[in-house]
Amino acid sequence: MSTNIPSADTALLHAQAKAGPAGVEAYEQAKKELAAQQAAAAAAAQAEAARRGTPDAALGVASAGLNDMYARRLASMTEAGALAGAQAEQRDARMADYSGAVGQARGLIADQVQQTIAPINAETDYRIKALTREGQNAVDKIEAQMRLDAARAAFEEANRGGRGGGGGGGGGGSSSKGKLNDGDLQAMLQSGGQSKMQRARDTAAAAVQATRKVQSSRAHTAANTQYSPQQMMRMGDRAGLAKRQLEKKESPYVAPDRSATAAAYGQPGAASRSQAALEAARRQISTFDRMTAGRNRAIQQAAPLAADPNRSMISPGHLAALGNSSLGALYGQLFGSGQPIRSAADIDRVFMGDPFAISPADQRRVNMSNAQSEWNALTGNGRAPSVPMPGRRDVPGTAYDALQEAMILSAIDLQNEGYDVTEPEVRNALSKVSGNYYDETSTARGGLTGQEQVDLSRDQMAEANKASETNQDEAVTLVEQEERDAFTSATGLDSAKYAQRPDQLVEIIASPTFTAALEAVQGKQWKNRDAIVNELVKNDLRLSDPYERTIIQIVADMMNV
Amino acid sequence: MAEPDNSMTSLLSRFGVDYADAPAPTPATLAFMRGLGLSLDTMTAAKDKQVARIKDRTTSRMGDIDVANERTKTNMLGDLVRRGVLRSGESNTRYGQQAENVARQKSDALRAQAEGIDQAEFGFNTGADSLRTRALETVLGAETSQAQQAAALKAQEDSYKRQDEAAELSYQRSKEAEERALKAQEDFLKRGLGI
Repeated sequence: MSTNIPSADTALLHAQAKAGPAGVEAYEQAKKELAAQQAAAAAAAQAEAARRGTPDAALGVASAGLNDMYARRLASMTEAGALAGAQAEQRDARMADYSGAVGQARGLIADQVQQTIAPINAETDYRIKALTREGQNAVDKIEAQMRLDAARAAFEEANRGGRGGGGGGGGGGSSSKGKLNDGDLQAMLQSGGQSKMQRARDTAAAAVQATRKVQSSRAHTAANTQYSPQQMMRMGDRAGLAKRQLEKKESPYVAPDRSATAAAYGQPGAASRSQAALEAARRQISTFDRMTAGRNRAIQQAAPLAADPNRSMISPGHLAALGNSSLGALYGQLFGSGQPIRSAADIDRVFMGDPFAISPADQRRVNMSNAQSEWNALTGNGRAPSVPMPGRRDVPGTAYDALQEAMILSAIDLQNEGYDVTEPEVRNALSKVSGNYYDETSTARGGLTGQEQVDLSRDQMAEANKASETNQDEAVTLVEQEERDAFTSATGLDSAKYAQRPDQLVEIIASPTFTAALEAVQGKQWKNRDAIVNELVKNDLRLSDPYERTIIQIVADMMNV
Repeated sequence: MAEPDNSMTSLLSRFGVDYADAPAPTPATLAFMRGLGLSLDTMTAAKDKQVARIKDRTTSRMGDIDVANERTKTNMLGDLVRRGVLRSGESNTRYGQQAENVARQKSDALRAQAEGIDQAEFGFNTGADSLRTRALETVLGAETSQAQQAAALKAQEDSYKRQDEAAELSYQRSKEAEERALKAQEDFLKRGLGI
């Protein structure tokens, strides 16, 4: 036959046999039917030719063309079926590859899981370190106090040993072992009462003069300068102490001198001055935000560098150029008891990506993916804090992000402390961290720029600090001397022996608890000091309480056993 | 210990997907898999209907070819008899050509049927593969998500436990230190020393 009948590729046939899907089976079925038709058609052609009288020798010719045609079609069908099988096999192979890849991908789930829990583990480590440090700090404090107590006791013991031979006099004929008994104490109070009262009055008068001087100085400086909130609060505390002393119930053991002391504290105007000082402190806190001042100052210095178009972000070098103290102060103010900033390396860590600088807990407090929404939720409206750094704002962990997050955190903290951050003034101060807007609006109103205000405030603060500290020191010295005298007059003991401040000692001996303790042991015979301590402990005084422990010590010392 | 839940593995095997130790089904994954099963059933029914239609058309076509063949041969026979050339070379040639025509038409019909069925099968398999990939992706995502959630819960639990232990340890240490300090202070006090 001249017709070229193609033979199917062996590999294709193998694939066809292996795959065996419906498509291949359809070709196989078609081939079977075609072969059956070929046989039937050839037989019919020969039979019909014979019926027409065709000689037997020529009968084969009648079906020759027919067979050729069928053979070509069958071969073509075989090839098509094999191709279909190969195609199916390739598809199966691709699917198998895909399934294998998915199986391998399952192996990556462990890494995904690790990535999920890594922040939790990191935060846990952070918290545990903090807890451990807090605990260690508490233990260190207790142990340091123990060492101090031991040193003080050793010192006292050594002193007592040194005085043993020559001391002991001065207490009158009935004294023994250099200590006063109850009778001696009463006698001394009677005999020396007039002169002691006179001295106390003189001291009180001097204290009143000093206090007036201090108040005058404070009034002057308060009118011309701005104190830090801490200073104002300290002044308020002192004034409050004076008021409390005035209102205290008198103790029978300190009656003469306490009245003089109270008279000194109770000069007209002391209470109103204390109120004024507290009010001033409150105004100071609400109108002059310490965070804003430090922040404005730091950012004022950062702005010129940041505005340089050649610097897309503040580099560690730039930060170092700003001065560690200013940025350290900024962060100290922003985060209160947060991590201190002491070196350029610390600053790098804060701004350049150590995730613990702003702790994970703090990071979760702010959704930085939408800082504007966070800001609006806090302050009502206005632009979120921004720093004029061209470009690169999409890069997380830059100084821009850190500052913006810090500003939002400071707003949250202020709000938690009771400030109204929706007030335009506060909001403005917080949001315009660049200081540019602040400067423009402030100078337009005839005011100072942020930098000028900070500089002026800083100078005034330093001046006020100096004056205030000096005056306060003088006043405190006088008042404390008076308190020491009052304590010694009442108890016959040296206040220096005790760890408490003179005002605390006066407060202690004026307390009903002290009175009750003294009454519990007075007029009885005691074998030794231990017996007195045990008796006081039985009367519900606790050694674990520093206040009550001091009462026990003073009463035991007064009993002179 | 609870028996492992193999329902998802069984469900996946229906799609021809081998995924041992598949994660436990959630309402969302179950609904998704049921949806895929529904799609697979619909595709199977559509393919079967298409194959049946192709076979039916082929059968009709074969019948038509036979009828036309008989008609042509009758006409041809009349012509050859009328002209008195029934036993001749022409007669053999014309019958042979007619037989070849019929064979060509029938083989074409059979070829078309096979190709149609193959095409329907190919379309079905392509769709089924698509369903398999979606099933795999979904179950892989569910497994990842479940593993992450379980690990996060465990890590959080461990975190609380560790923090609790650290806090307790700190408390115990400070308590011990405080007791030592109290004892020392008591000693000082009984010795008449200032503290």
